[in-house]
Amino acid sequence: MGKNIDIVNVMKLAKLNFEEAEIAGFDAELNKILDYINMLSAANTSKLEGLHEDLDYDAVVGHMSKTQSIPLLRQDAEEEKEADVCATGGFDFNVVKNDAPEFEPDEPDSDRGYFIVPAVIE
Amino acid sequence: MQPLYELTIHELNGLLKKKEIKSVDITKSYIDRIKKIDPVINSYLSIDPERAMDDAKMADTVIEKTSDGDFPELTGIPLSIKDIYLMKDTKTTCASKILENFNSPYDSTVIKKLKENNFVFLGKTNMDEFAMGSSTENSAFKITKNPWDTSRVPGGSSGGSAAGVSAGLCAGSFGTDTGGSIRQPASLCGVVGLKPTYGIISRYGIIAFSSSLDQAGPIAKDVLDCAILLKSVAGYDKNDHTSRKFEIKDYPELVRKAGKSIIKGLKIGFPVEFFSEGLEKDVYKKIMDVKELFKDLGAQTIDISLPDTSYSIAAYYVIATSEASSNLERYDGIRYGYRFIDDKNKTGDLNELFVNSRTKGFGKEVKRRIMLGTFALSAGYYDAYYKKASLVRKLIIKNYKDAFNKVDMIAGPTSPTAAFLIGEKMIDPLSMYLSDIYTISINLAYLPAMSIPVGITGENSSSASKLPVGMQIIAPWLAEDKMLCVAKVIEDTVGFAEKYKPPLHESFFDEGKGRTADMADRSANIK
Repeated sequence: MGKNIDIVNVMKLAKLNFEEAEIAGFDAELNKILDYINMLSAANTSKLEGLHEDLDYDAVVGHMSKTQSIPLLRQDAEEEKEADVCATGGFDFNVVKNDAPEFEPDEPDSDRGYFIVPAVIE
Repeated sequence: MQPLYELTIHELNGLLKKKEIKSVDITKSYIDRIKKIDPVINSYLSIDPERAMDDAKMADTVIEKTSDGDFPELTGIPLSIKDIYLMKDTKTTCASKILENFNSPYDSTVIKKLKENNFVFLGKTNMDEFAMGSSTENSAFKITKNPWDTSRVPGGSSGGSAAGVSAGLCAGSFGTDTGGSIRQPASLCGVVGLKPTYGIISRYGIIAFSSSLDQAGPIAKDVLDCAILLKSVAGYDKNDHTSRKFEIKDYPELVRKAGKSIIKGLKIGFPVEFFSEGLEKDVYKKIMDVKELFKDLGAQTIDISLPDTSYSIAAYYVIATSEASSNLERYDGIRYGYRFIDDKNKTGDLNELFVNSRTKGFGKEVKRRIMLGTFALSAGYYDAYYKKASLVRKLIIKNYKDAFNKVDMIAGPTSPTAAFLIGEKMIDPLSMYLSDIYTISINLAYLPAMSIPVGITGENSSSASKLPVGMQIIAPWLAEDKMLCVAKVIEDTVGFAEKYKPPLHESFFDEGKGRTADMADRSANIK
């Protein structure tokens, strides 16, 4: 830790662009925040492994209410997987609808349900 | 008789059941109130009075058809919705220029459930852009004012919702809470806000900021209303892969039954780390008053320690920004609304289209967080930042597990200060981040928590601002029922709503009549 942010490089990765004058401001702010975040290095996490917690509430809820152990992320039940219609995944099809131009006739530009974008290959 | 906009959801429901009023009367009362007050408060980003009246008429038909008052409690109740929830055929902007013209193609699960309850949709409320902020000043469109003092912020990011509930511009509202965005504005506006256990309200159709922290929840005038709103939208949803199967309790019924006796023998933990440096004196005093109250009611108050609290903001700003940088990749200038086209210089490649659209479309705080998150996930830094923060998150969860083995519930201040001045913290982003010190660790630990108003600052001074103070109650996972019951007893004992009201005097609005009337016309046209 204790490294400074290379603003120009991160800007490229994030697909953002700042004017020269803005870069200095962002640089100062982000590095100040980073200085604060660097306090994390003092936390003793040597005995911990893995990034995600499988929460077992049994021990915790104890005298409050008896509940079963609950994993953080949902475990799909077998029958449910089968029941889900693969074609739509059980979703409202509008969710994956990509022809936004139907809603916004002006932009983004579209043609027959496709988005028009600038040329990628010369 | 009190104006209808002042009544709670359960009071309105009682009157609707007795057929003493109609939903159109309630809705009209709110629309009039919005036209008069909202040009000053700026709670709403969009309102749709016609649609609201149509909803009300539909609800009245449902009510008429049911003989024994057996209709859902939200039937005919006008609510506002944070502009982060997709609702078919309405604009959902997330208070961002990049989504300024984005029309929701479908209903989020929360909206779907509210529609099944025949609610009345008043409009979408203002927020910090993409829910990033603690003051609602990061909105690309307007600055919401605190109804208790219009020179101050309502908190954020669900500031429009909290200010709206507080000023009587809606009967209740739904917000989202990623690091305190329901509880902190509720605290600053003197209303009740609840962030449930992660996974009990579906996030399907809610625009993502930080997926492992985001959770939807109600903002309401009192604890019982909060219970009604929670029950109406909670539950498993197969469209949200972090949704959880659990037993939905009858929260309103439990809250109605909750008497003082439930406090007797309860162990309430007060974390010493929540009463340290930076806590405003009047806030401290009010929370201490409630601590005494707990003792009087027969609870055992215990000082506990959450030793890793000091790391919570740092861990949060690594995890939340990392997830945000990934979630916000989808705004590329192609698929959603805003695209920047350089009219003078029509050349440019696809990459320039991405970069220009994102640069012009996102506001400053959003860009700051995307930058921070992109950095934390970039090659060479991932282990030092993202991985480390995730491990620290485990430490924080362990702190709470240990604490809940000793106590039944945890209490403390929601925010270190009462509402701060507009502009006060905008110059220093870090100082804004630090205002979430007491709420952030709860999201990191997936816990439920709520804020209830317990007093007012500056009571013994004629010059000091009279601003609400919120107390936060934190419960073990899935113990929303018990948390609501404890909150109800404290609410009844403190009697905040009976004693205090935001100073929205008629004269306040008459003074600037010309301006207000003009703005009212404008806001009525927003659609």
